[in-house]
Amino acid sequence: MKTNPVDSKSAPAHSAADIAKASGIALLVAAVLLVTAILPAEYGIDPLGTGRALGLTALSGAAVAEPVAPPQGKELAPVPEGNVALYPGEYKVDSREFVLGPYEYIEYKYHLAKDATMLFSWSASGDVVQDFHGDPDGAKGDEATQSYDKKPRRQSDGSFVAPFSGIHGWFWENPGGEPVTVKVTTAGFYTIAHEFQFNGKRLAREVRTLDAIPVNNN
Amino acid sequence: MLTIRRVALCIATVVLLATTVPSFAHDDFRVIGTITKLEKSTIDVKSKDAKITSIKMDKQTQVTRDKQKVAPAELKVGQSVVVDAYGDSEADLLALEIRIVPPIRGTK
Repeated sequence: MKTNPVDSKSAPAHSAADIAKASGIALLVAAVLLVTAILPAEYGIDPLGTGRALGLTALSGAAVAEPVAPPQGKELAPVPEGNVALYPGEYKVDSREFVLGPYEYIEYKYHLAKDATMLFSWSASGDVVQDFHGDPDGAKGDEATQSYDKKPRRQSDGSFVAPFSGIHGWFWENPGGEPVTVKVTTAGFYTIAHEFQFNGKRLAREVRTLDAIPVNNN
Repeated sequence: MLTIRRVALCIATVVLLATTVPSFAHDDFRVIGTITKLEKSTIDVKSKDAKITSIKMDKQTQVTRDKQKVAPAELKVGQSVVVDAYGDSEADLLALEIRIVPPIRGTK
């Protein structure tokens, strides 16, 4: 038995033009796939909108939508979004210590917009008469003053949501003959603090931005 | 008719000014110290910073001791007092309440 060698002449011959044509078609198909599928799926680049239509952009990291701008506004008023309240600026921090001589008093209040939040902790080294209260914007005298808590306390730690736009804070009075030190620390969406001294002096106190807090890298 | 309206407007303006301006012209002050001088309608109080403040008294001024109201005649030079007053400034104060308190160190 003798087998016949393959006849090389029977295989179809491809000309250079055929090869170039096939290469061109392959490149074209590859380019179409690149633009319609690969770029949207891998990189979120979707110039023809095919990636979105085919649901391919969800595969890319670019599925995250454009960042939402924070609320805008001059006043630090909350904008509710579900269980979250967003503000048009960062919160502030403040810490003060007052030494009250015999029978002296002081009022220390922050300006908060309606529904704005503040966290606080204060403590006194001795007995004090205290009244946590607020005065609405534009109110004259004490008629519009609203008291939130005036129970006898030496310490109070809590959170507060302003029921109206105005100044909110504490009256501390030393009812005795020995000096008493009151220390208060707060964080909240307030803009400024006001200090009212027993002798009639009124001072506007700057509050600190978050830059004032040292970063803890430990 | 126009004249009547103008007169009414003027009266309303005067009434408005008369009722609103005094309501925010006064502030609260507290003067703590020792009585240095006592007259029928004025009390002088020396604070711990040695400043003497002169405060007016009137018939509405209450004098108390241990939260009990007492006669103004109970006030004596040398006593320690806490005076709650109001006025435009420390130089123009009217006493609302004068509390007689135990001696305060550093105010004699």
